[in-house]
Amino acid sequence: MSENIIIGAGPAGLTAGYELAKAGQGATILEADDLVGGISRTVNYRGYRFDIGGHRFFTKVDYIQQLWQEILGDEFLQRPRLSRIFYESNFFDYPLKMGNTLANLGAVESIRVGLSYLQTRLRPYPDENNLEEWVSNRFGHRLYHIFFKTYTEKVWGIPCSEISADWAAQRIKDLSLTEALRNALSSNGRSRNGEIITSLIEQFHYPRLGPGMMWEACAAKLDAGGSRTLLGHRVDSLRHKNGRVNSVVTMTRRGEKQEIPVGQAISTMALRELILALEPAPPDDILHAARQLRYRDYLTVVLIVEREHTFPDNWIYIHSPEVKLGRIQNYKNWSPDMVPDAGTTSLGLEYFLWENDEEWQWSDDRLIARGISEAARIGLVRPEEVREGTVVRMKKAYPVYDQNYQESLRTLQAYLSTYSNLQTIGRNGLHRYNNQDHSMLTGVYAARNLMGETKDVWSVNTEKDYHEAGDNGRPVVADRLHPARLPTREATSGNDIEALVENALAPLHAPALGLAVGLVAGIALMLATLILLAKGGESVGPHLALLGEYFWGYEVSVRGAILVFFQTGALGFCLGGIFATLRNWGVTAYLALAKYQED
Amino acid sequence: MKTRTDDDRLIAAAARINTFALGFVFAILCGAGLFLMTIFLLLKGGDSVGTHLQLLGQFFPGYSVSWVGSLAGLLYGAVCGALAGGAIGYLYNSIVRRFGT
Ligand SMILES: Cc1cc2nc3c(=O)[nH]c(=O)nc-3n(C[C@H](O)[C@H](O)[C@H](O)COP(=O)(O)OP(=O)(O)OC[C@H]3O[C@@H](n4cnc5c(N)ncnc54)[C@H](O)[C@@H]3O)c2cc1C
Repeated sequence: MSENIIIGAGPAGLTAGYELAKAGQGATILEADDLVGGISRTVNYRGYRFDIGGHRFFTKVDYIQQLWQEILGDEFLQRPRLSRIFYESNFFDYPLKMGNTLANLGAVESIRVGLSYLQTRLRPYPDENNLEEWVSNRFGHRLYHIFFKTYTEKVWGIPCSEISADWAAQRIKDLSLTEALRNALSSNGRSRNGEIITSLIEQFHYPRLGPGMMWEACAAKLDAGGSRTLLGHRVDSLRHKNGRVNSVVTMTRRGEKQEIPVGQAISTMALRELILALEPAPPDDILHAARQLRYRDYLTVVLIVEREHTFPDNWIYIHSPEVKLGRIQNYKNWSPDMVPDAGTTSLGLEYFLWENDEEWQWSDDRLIARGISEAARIGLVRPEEVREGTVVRMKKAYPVYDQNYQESLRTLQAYLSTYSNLQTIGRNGLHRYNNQDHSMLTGVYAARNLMGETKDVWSVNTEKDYHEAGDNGRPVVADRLHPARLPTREATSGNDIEALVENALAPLHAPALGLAVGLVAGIALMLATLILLAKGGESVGPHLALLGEYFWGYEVSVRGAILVFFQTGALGFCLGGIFATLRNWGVTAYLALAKYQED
Repeated sequence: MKTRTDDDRLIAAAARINTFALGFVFAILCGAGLFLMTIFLLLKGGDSVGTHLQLLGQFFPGYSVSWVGSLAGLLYGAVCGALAGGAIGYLYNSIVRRFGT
């Protein structure tokens, strides 16, 4: 009998199953691996639990939050977040805090950072084609070098000058240096408009035993409700005819093949693999588009350390170029129950690689030895404290946003829409930086589509102000957005030149300038008076009091401060207004002359 | 050539001030101004040098009419200038945005 087939028991697949089960429909979930959770799994090594990276549970979608609570209940903890950047033997608070950053950088470096920032503000890159230009224009070249270049190149294995700028706009929050400094000063994690900036979130939810706990509980509920999750069943091909998938062929680890008939299919396998698994094979241009999609792979070396406290962070970004290590997780700080013995610590050393890199083939022992030596080199552990280690490799951890992927995606999306009973969802299924919540939402949509609704799974995670950002519509660029090409500075385009000319020649608003100058002047003199008053002394401000010659009733007193505010304000208003009017007359005369010459 | 409607648009528009540029210009003017004023008095010399300018030390701790003071003056002048210029630009733009045509 044909049935609902879901490929992959990661967050997307399991949520689709869960949503179907809620509506009374069963499903068979086929999972290639021996455990559920996909990239959001929790691995258990001799009682030490760890995830692939660290998985914060954070969503703006109420329904997803509700699902998490429903599945895990009390086991869903609220945890504090601490993460710092390690660079040149110093720990930088992250989000950056002004005092800490300047102290760590030192006086000379701080001045260089400031000067380089000024330089890029005065002479920015005219076109923001790549990450280097995009970030430098916002933070200055020097800061880009310290805080973006090494880490980004570690994670992506591509020089920043070759990473597209629209990619940068997605990954890096819309947090300019001024915004960062404003946050450093106010440190409430909100931008000027009151939005919470993605990277500044200080708390998150986390299951007591890691993210895998959520997905194991979900799979258990599904099994209890009549659906089934078949582990160790890799889908090798999808047989189709006339725009319908009729069956899937699975292969077990022992090499047993099985053909399962399909009523409706929901796939979370990587989009490239899905297309390549179609039987008969799609046309060449489709295969070509699929082969263009690339993925970044990832491995984590977990070290069990005989020490109760190593560092207080959940994770540390390692920017130091002398080690290949990109990030270190301290799982015990995610949840104390992640370690079986409170006197020990488990650290996850994260490396970002390509599957065909030589290191990917290294033996576990060699990787562990390198991990120990790098962790020791940056001073986080002593080699003799490391009791043992293990390695987990995760292929296709990140879909790569290169110059071609958008084009390929469009082609594949159009092609897949010709199938009447196949939906592709999830992170790699849509080739999008989905976090769990997004992947889950695509699962919910796919399930609802089987119940007659018409939800667009491709629309998830394309909103401008995703997630931790606020609701007021300002495009905060979080790290999970769908690509939207940055408006580059087209200084040569007709419209822009007109806009520039218009602004250069448009009249200054005289009352506005008057008011602005008046306010600033008034406040300045008022402050000067109040400062002298506050300082006190035997004779307060005898010289400033001479202003009484010009301003009626002025003296260095509170009353005088108020009087001088209004009078200087009025004077400033007049001067500002007169300046604007004279300047406007000048421009009018200039325009008249230009017109006369043109005629 | 600009059309009539372009002209109308131009007349109706109110220019925006580049806050950063204005702050920068004010910073240079005020910083260099205070620096040069101090240096000028020092070079002029005399019995009591810059008794009045000296009073700025009331507002700018560390400032005095001396060679080191001239550098402090440069810094203070630049910071105050930048603040004043930036504030004027910012206020102006906000007012225009709110009330301007
Ligand atoms: C380092 C890192 C850190 C992250 N941190 C966070 C975080 O803090 N918070 C957050 O919410 N998200 C985070 N994520 C993202 C999160 O892991 C993913 O969004 C989520 O796991 C995606 O779920 P999915 O079901 O779409 O895909 P996956 O998790 O990839 O699951 C797909 C499943 O399909 C199976 N499969 C694939 N091909 C086949 C096949 N042919 N046959 C059968 N089964 C198949 C796979 O084995 C896998 O189990 C992080 C990801 C990474 C890499």
